[in-house]
Amino acid sequence: MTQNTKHTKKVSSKPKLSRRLLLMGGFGGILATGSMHGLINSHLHNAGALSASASIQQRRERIVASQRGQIMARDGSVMAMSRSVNTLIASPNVVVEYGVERTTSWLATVLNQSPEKLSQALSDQKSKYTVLARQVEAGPSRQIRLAITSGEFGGLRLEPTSRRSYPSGELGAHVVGFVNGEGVGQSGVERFYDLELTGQPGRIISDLDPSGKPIPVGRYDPLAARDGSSLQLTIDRGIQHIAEQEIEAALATYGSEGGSIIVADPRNGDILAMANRPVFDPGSLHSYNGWSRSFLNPAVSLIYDPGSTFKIFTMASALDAEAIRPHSTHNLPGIYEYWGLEFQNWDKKTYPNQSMTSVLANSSNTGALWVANRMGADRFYDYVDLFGFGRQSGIDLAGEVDGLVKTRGSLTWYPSDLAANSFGQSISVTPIQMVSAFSAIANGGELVQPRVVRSIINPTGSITDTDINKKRILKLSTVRTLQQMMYDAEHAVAGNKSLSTNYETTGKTGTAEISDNGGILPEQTIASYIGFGPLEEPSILIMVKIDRPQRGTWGSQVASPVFRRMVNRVFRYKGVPGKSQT
Amino acid sequence: MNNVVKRRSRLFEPDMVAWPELDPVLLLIAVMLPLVGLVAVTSARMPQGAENPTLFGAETLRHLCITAIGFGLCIVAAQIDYRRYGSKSWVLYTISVLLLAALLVPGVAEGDGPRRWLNTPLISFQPSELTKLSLLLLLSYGAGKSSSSSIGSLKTFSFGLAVLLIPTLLIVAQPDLGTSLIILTIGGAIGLVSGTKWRHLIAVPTLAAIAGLVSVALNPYQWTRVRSFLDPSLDPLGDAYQAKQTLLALGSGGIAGKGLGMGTMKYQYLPAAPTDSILAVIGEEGGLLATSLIVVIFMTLLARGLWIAAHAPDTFGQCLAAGISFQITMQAFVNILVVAGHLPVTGLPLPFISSGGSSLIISLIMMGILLNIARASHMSQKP
Repeated sequence: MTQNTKHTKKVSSKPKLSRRLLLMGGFGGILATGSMHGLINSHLHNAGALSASASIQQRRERIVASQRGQIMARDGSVMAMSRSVNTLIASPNVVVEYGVERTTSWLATVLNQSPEKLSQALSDQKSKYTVLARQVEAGPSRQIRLAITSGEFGGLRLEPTSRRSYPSGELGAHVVGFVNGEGVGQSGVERFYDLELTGQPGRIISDLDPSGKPIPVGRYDPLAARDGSSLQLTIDRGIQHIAEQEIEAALATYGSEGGSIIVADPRNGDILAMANRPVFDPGSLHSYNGWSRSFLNPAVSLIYDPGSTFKIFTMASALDAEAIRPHSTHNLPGIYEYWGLEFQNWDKKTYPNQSMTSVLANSSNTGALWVANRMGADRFYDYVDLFGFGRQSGIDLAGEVDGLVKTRGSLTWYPSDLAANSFGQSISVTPIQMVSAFSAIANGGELVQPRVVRSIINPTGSITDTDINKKRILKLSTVRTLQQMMYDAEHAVAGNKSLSTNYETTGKTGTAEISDNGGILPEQTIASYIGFGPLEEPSILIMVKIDRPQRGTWGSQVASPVFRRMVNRVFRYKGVPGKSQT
Repeated sequence: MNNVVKRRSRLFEPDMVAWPELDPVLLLIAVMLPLVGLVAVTSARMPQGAENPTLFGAETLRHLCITAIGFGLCIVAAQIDYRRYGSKSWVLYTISVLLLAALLVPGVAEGDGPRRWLNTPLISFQPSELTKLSLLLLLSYGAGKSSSSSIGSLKTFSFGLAVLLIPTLLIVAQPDLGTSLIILTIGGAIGLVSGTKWRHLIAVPTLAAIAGLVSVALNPYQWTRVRSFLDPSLDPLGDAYQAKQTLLALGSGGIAGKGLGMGTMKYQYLPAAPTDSILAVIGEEGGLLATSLIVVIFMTLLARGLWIAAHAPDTFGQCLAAGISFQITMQAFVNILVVAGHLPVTGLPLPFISSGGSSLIISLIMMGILLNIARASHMSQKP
């Protein structure tokens, strides 16, 4: 085998060849230099901007919702809780690949919805995002998840969210409150304790590919959600139930459209029950079309003139200031002219030689006025302030208002206001302020801040009790004296409907005129009764307030019997020893 | 036994060729580049590995086998005297042209896109890769055969140009503008080395420009590529997207890279990560150190190839050595310039490294031939 000689011709012109090869090499060199230029540009000079841009392109931050805490009654029974549900989201452009018809008919059976609604949601087949169904429960969610992972259906995904439910319904609805569609508290403790209940949402920062799948070697930086704390209310479910029944019955009996019953423990400010009408069901808010007046908690958000119940505070102030003595007697006119205005008693009668006790027993307006005048406006309003009127009681419920107190020196105050204020007119208060102030009469002279949440249970299980805030505002001797006077006065009233035959209680009726644009509404009253017991060591304070009763006008006719029924049922429920049992 | 030795001696001429006489620089390049490719492509396929581990395993194994076969063919080619191909290069050329023509027959190439692949039940094969080799052989052989006076004649030049243009136009028709331009560089390289007159040689880039314009006119997507290269905001999700993503990958890699396998851009952000954009994957994971090393390796390949051409014993060898090294490095630099954002997207793979069996095998055979020419140059300089 020899070489083919045809191809062995020697290179004839070496210099020319070398020049041409050098030219090719030079061209390659230029391209190599260009390549290096481009590479150094991207790798080095623009690296910061480029890698940041790549990072932004891949980085996704997903919020991990925290579980909202529960709201429990005093006994631990659940009044508000969050359940995990899912939002079903579809990418119609992907669903097309799996068959729209097929997907909708399957989803319709799983979700128990009409296929028409679903196929309408999927009608824009170029769209990448549409919400197919909200609040999909655990069962259907599991079915859908299974079908997605098996590849049977696609273009669907579930996003976890939560749904607030209120197993107690209307029971204690104003205390519990409600959340909006985003799960933010709107009223009651849901709003007041929104921060504690919400907790801290977490987030996951991760690198995703363009289709949304995580990149295994990419960044994954989770920050776990901290679930919200749960709340244990001071509300006693049993007492709340009694209060709800009684307010409902009272409204029916007296033809009223609104009212409240509040049961509190005067020793520590615990609200044991707070039942209001009108009421709402936090579980079916959608049926109210946005907003309803019934969402307002009248016990903290609506003001009224307290009327005669306020005379207790007038009397307590005068006793404490030593302006009067309990047994001093005076001739009190039935009609009293004060600073150009005439004030009269409910029966317009003159009572000679009146004791202070009989002022209470007869619920004498002129008596109260006489007492307030004897104290003087300065001292009177000092005490009004001490009792907490004109500012929020500090109860842990959203939407509390201040009330309206014109004090001496303010522009709108007339000397005649002292007279009206002494028997609870021309002064506006909230029921919770009355409960708070009256607690001081019941517990020996300390103003306690009412509370509806007893303790906050954080997700790790540690329990923080809420504070009990007390402030001494009356001397103990004053309260002892006043309680005796009130007891005597209540027993001096013939046919007093507030007194239980079984339990010893005392309190005060009130029949208030309703102020309206400076005047008063004729024939309209707010009938109320506040009282407490047992007298040895008062542990239960009950306030009954019936708005604009159509059958009956007076507190003694309308509110007293309700108070008595409440005493009988609540005291028995709490195991307070009664006369018949001992 | 004697029989076997006798047959082998006819083919390999063992008295002339021995292992140590393989050029160490070329050999190192021929081993290094496919191994870099094997590692890089496997990394670039990691997303597929997560989705479909079986397919990932099969593809990786296939790549491994092709690399091994490629090395084998490279060594075999290094043993075969390149001058033996001369007279048979017509046959290879004819087969290439027929295969390219067959691609244009409806139903032969799959899909609606460019007709680049010949699919047989056993293998998928890219005829344009074979065309590069057959053109290199045929044109070099032709140049070597022509006398030094006839090489400057218009007749010889026209003949060579016709040989060059037939497959080029067939590839333009696929359409694959990038590959057809690379094929023209083969003609240009061999024309230069063979001593073709400058005024004739000018025709090649002119033709390239005309071919480019015609192709762009016929294929709107190519015009889009050019326009989006000039103004990326025109097409933020198409080719400009690809151009942008490769830059993002390079920038993410910085100087030293994120580390092997740690790149995130290959997860569907980089289009054609295992093929055309493989350098971007290398750049993200290996940084400037890795990408500049690759530039250096290809530049070394060109320099070594041209040095071998300068020392080749005959014009056939000169043309073949220069053509092979120039063609491979031109394609490499075009690919790198595209990834680095200095050229519009062309769709050319990075030789040896991008995933693709036809390209890898043909490139390694070319390296084998280059090794053989180097050996022959060495022999011819021996006293």
